[in-house]
Order: sequence, then structure tokens, then C-alpha cells
Amino acid sequence: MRSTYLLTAQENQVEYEFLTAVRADKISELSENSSFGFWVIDARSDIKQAQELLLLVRQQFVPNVYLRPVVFLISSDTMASSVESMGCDGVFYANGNNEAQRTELISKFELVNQWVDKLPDVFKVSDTDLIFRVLRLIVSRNSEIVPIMTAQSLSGFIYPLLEPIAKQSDSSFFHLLDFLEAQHLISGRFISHCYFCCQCHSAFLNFKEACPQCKSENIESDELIHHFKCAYVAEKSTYQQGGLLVCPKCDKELKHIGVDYDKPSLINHCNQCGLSFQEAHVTTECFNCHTHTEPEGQVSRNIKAYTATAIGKNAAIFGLDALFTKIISSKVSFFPEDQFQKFLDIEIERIKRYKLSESSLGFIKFIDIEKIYLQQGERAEQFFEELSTIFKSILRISDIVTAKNQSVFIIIMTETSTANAKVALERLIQGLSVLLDENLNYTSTIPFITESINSETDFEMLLEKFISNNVS
Amino acid sequence: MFLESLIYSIDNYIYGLVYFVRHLKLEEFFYYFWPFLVFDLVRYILLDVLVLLVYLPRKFLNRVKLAQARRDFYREMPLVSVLVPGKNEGKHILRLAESLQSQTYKKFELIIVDDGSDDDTEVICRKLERQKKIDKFIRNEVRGGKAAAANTALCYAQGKYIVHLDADSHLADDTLELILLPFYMDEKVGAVGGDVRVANIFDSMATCLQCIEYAKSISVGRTISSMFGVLRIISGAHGAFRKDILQRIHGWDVGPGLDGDITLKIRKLGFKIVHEPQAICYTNTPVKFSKLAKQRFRWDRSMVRFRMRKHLDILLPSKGFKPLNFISSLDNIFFNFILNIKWWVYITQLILMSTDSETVMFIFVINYLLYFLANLFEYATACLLYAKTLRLKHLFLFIYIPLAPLYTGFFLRAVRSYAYMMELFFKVSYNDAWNPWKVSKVAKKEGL
Repeated sequence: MRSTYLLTAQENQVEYEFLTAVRADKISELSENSSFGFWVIDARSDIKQAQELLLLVRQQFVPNVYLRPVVFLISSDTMASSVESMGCDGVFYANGNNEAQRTELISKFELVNQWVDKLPDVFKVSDTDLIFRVLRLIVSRNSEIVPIMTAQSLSGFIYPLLEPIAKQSDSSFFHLLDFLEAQHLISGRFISHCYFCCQCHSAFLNFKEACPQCKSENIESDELIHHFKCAYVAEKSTYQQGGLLVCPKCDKELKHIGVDYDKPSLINHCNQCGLSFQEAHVTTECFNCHTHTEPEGQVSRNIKAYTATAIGKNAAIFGLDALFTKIISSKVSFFPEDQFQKFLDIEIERIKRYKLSESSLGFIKFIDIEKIYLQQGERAEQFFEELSTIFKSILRISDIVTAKNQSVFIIIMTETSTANAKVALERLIQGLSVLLDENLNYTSTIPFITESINSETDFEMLLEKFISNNVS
Repeated sequence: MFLESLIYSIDNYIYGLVYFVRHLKLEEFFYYFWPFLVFDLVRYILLDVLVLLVYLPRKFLNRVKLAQARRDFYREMPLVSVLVPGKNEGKHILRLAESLQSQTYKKFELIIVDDGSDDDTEVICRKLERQKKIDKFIRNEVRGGKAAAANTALCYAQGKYIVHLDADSHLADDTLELILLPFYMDEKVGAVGGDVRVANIFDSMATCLQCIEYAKSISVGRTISSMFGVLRIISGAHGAFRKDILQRIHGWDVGPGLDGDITLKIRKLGFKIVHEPQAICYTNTPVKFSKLAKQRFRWDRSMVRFRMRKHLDILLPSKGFKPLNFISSLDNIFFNFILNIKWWVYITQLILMSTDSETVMFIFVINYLLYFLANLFEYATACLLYAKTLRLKHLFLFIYIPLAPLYTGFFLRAVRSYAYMMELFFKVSYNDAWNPWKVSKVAKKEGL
């Protein structure tokens, strides 16, 4: 039987004997626990705290923790509907048959747990890449991730399951899903269409009609009346005499619409500048940031439900081949890290033995690689192609390159002094910075260091130091 | 061999024709050609001579007055409202708007009323409105007819003067200025008719012949009528009105023929109606004779409906009797309706003479020659009147003048006769799809 854990904010007495209490600050201790059933979070007294604990689970990096099902312990059916949109996988009724519920939930989550159990290095791997974590969560549930329209979220829609993993649902989360879809890792089904504020991406927009001339919102409408007999056309107010409609041209009383008169259209009047018009100036005001935008300036987006594709399912198990690394390695020959290490060892030995030349080791980190993914969506691939071209143009064939992950690159620059290596890397970074600045319109800092390769060189130490100094 | 025999036959025929003319006695000449001698020669040729002898010199002498009127006009700089009602006319609006943008007089507003179009007129016009090429666009979802659409535009017009245009027309650069100057030359002028010329001259034979016809009947004919103070119509395609007068009569009444109707209503108020041949509007005319026949069938019926029914009071003695209005209406009824009957009388006369087929043929040929010469003279007069606005293409049309007697003498007369008969006996104008059926139904019931 799988174990079930009650996640608590502080030390609490456990009401249920089948639950093992785990304090929030000790959550990582369960990362190597096998035979995991599901998390239970008590939502009866403090729903907000329950949400925070759910967030804590999903924010963990170890798949064995963050991918496991989470159920909320609730006291009534009315609570069930309110926790539905919070992203938990199910509910556990405090006043129900405990054993039956437990068995049922374990059985319900069995497929999810089996899938998580099969992940390679499920206890050790640290999934730091948000895209990969989202993909794994979608695949693990093996069901369609359907958005819910809600006023609780600024974007107007949430994906309950994914909400805790993403911390907040803003436009970048939509970009992330777009990216996964563009990579054919998930497929979308159209649900709805929505307009968002161009400034803060809020879905809460107030559509307003205004005078096209003075932009005043103080406008009124009046109906036009056409009297068939004399072809006279004027606004309804012109015809009104007491409670009757009387034609000012022929003094006949208008009796039946469609028989002796009709109303061909509406006219708006501006009470500010007096303009008469039909097509009002439509503008929107964001409820969140109060930005006024023309309708054509708004961000329009299709809202979709998502399911994992076969490629996505495979990528979720065996790792998402980082797009950038994949593209760059097609242009610049990348060596696996172990081979790179061997080359480095050989170079260290060679220099140590002959003491004739100088070689250098360069470290580069792309801090904003994930940001580029999210911002560029489908265009990311094309953008990375261009970045890779710059890499290729600067690096020499004799340079040995490896990628630690999708954002850290290490280069052995043989027969190159640290000063020259620095010049080469500066040129590389300058090229990359210009491309980023021109295309993404932001200045990105690309940290790098160069080190001389000698008998003292400790690759692991240098790498760790470089990464820790440049944590994004 | 064939050619020789053809030349011989023609030679023989011409010889016979010359012999027939040389031996024609005066009373025979009058008997055979009385319609031309009594009516058409007087009505068209002699009056054209008046244009050459009176109008053109007077125009020259009036140049000081015209210059003063222009100064007064530019001193006042009145706002002019250009009204364009229409249905499914979106494709023409851009060209019209652009022709207005290049006007020498810039202080105008362009108001387009879409009378329930079922094509993309609304989309086109809304776009032009956003681009500020149209000042106001009003879309009537329910079609109400041209008069209702024009009245809708009038309802929102801000200008002191109203210029009414057809959507499928465009203006020469100085038209807006020229059509308004008569208001500043004579304060009794209530409305000014602008010259309407054919835009699509060389689209077909029908358009070429209409161009000749417009030159004769509008450019010259209306100038003469205006000179005599009996102008009875301001074309819906191009006319200028004082807004206060239009408001006094509450705009246009139910058509078809609303342009002639409103002209008479303004005349009845005692205002002068004049024609300004130098204020030019180019309009698209029907390309096919079948379409042209339909258009004329509609126009001609309004003569019966409005002159002989609605405004019959002009011909009757009353408190508001005005001699010039009487002459204007009588002139219209006589020369269009009565003389059309004359044409049938003449045809009957020729049929009765048909036992002498050779004589009838000679009469026909001589008549054709006379009408050809009359058309030639009339068109030449129009070209003189055009002055600076005369173009090479107008001169090119001289080669089509031999066909003009066929067009005016047979085609137009046949259509006109049919239209008069149908309207007199069956009141078919009330069934015309030109107006929405609900409007026609009320108009028929009220006898409008």
C-alpha cells in the first residue's frame, strides 16, 4: 500500500492514523521516499494556508515530490466546489469513510504514481526548468488541461492544475503553453477568445463608446424616423408632440411602425461638443492598470485546453532536449560533458608536460534563455538559429565546446592566452548582445569568465563558482 | 461588277433625290416637313442662336458682376454641405471624395447617406470616414428611398448651402465655387443647377450618344431655359440649394422625379432657378441601351406624375399664380408630351402616304439630313458654350452625330411615348422598385 502524507504548516496532531504528518520545512526529506500515494492538505480551517502548501509542493524541484497528487481535506460538499479551481487533484471528506476514501484515491491516482515512479532518477533529478516541469505535470495527469474562466485571476482564465507550479497566471504562462504547443509537445483545442490589456495583460477591460471628435463619453442616442408619406426624416424627438408622434413636414400623426413610418437607424449625440455621429469611438480601459487602449491595440489570444502529444509524453520521461542546445550543437560541434572532461584532462597534462603554450577555459551563461523562450514563442527557434550563427562565426574548429545545461557553455580554447580568449569571448558576447537588443529590445547581461588551463585547474570547482556567482 | 452596279444604284438614287427636291413646291415642302420646320427648327436651332447672340455676350459683359460675386463669396466663406444619398454606391465614393478634396473652395462638409445598401458600401464609407475623407456617414439599415436618404443628410447638414450629388459622379476642380456664385449675383436665386457631363464617354455607343444628348439638352437646353427664367429642373446628380429654402419646404418629397419636383416647389416660393454650365459634374451613364431605356422610362414617367398631376395647380389660375412658372410647366408639357403626340401624327401621315413609297423614302432621307444638321448645329453650340472646358474627346464625338437623329428621334421618343402612356393609364411609377414598396404603397394611396 502506498504511503499518504499530511502536509502541515507546523507540528500538528494527526487525526488519521493512515496519514504521516510532514512539516512544510521538512518536505524535501521525502524526495527519496518510494511508494508515494498522495499528499493531503487540510483545507478545513484555513483555505489560504492550504493553497500556500499546495504551492510549496508544486514548487519543489524533485519530481517525486512536485508531481505527486495532492488532495484537500475538506468538511463539506460546498467546500468541494470552492477548492475545485485551486489545482488540487481531489478532495478527502473529513466526515467520510476514511479507509474507503483512501483506497479510492490511491486507486484513482495509481496511474499517475506509476508514471512518476518510472521516471529515470525520479528521486534525484532536479527539474529547474519551468517549461519541463509544466510538461511533466500535464503528461503525468494524462488528461486534458482545461482552462476555467475566473474573476480571481487577472488573465481571466486559469489552468487549475498548472496554477501552483507557475506561481502566477500572467501572459508569460500563455507564452509558455504556446511554446510547448509550437514544439508539438502538447496540442491545443480551442475553447474561447479573449482580449487582454496591452500593458498589464489583464483580461478585465471596460469597453466604452466615446465621441469620435472630442472623445467624451457623455453621449446619447436618438432614433431616426422616416415618414413614408412625405419622405421626411428626422430624430424621434423632432416628431414628439405630447405622447404622439406628429410629422413636422405634413402634420400627420404617425400611427404604425412599418405601415406609415419606420426607424432606419440610430444617431449618437455628444453632449460635450454637439457632434452627431453613428460610429462611436470605441476605447477600452483596463480595470487593473487603468490604461486606455484602442481596440486594435489590445492583445488578442485564443484560449485553449491542452493534452500532451506522443512527442510530449516521450520528452516528459526522457528529458526535454533543450532547444537552444540542440540548435547550437547542429552548428558548433558539442561534446558530451564526460568527453569534454577528458579533453580538458589531456590539455592540462599536455601543458604541464611541455610548458610551451597556453590554453584557456571559457565559461558563458545565458541568463535569459527561458525568458527568450517565453517571449518569442514560435519564433524562438529562428532566434536561436541566429544566436548559434554568431557562436559559429566566433569559435574556431579547434575549440572544444560543451553545454552544462541549456544555458551554460564551456569552451576549451587551445593555444590561446586568457587575454586572447577574453577578446574572443567579448566579441562573441557583443554579437549576442546586439542581436538580443535589436530583436528583443532589452539589454541582457551575458556573464563570462576565462581561466588559464594549467596543472592547478579544477574544472568542477571553477564551474560551480561560475554558476553560483551568476544565479539567475 | 457588283461594285459598279451599287455605284450606279446610288448615283441613280441621288439623282432622283435631287430631282425630288428641285421640283418640290413650297406647300409640299411644308406638308412633308412640318414637324421640323414648325417645332424643332424653332425650338432648338433658333434658340441655340440666341445662346450665341445673347448668352455668351451677356456672360462677357457680366464678368465684373461675377468678379464682385466671387469677392463677396470668398469674404463670407460659407460652409457648404455636400449631400450624397445612395444605395450600393460604395465603389464610387472614394473617387467622389477625392474630387472634392481637390476643389478650389475647401470649406465644405461631405455627408454620405447609405440607403440600406446590401453590399460593402458601409465598410468602404466607414473607412473613408475614419480617414476624414468623409465628414459624416449615416447608414440607414432600412431602405427608405432616395428622398428619405437625402432628407436624412439634410437633417445633419450644417452648411448655408446644400450641394446635392449622385454618388457615381465627380466634380471638376472649380465646380463647388462656380455653382455657388449665382447665389451671390442675385439674392433671389434659390437653387442652381450644375452642368452634368458624361464621365464614361467612350464606354459604348450608348454613352457616346448620351454625351451628345447631355451637351444639347443640359448644357445648351438648360442654359436657354435659365436665360428665359423657365428652368424647370435641377438635376439630382448636380444641384445647389439654399439650405433655408430646403428647410422651409422640409426637403425632398417621395420620388421618382424628386429633382424636378423640388425645383417646382422652390419656384412656387418665388425663387429663381438658374443653370451654371461652367460648374461641371461628371457622371456615369448607362452603358447598355437596355439599361438606358429603363432609366429614361423612369425619368419620363415623372413628367406625367409631377407636372400633370402633382403640380397641375401651376397651370391653373390661383392666388399664387406666377407667369414664369406657368410657362415653365407649359413648355415642358408642350414640348415633351404634346409634341411627342405630333411625332405619332407625323408617322401616321407618312404611313398614309406609303402608296408612294419612293416619296416617303425621299422624305425620310431629307428629314434625316435636316435633323443631322440640326444636331450638328446644336452640338457645335454646346462646344462653344463649353469654352475652356472643351476637350478633344468632345470634338471626337462629332463623328457620331450622324447617329444622333436615330437616337433622339426613334430610341428616346419610343421610350418616352411608352413611359407617358403607362403612367397616364396605369400609374406604373408607383410600382417602381426604385422606391421601397412600403413607400410606393403609401404614395399611391395618398395620390402623391
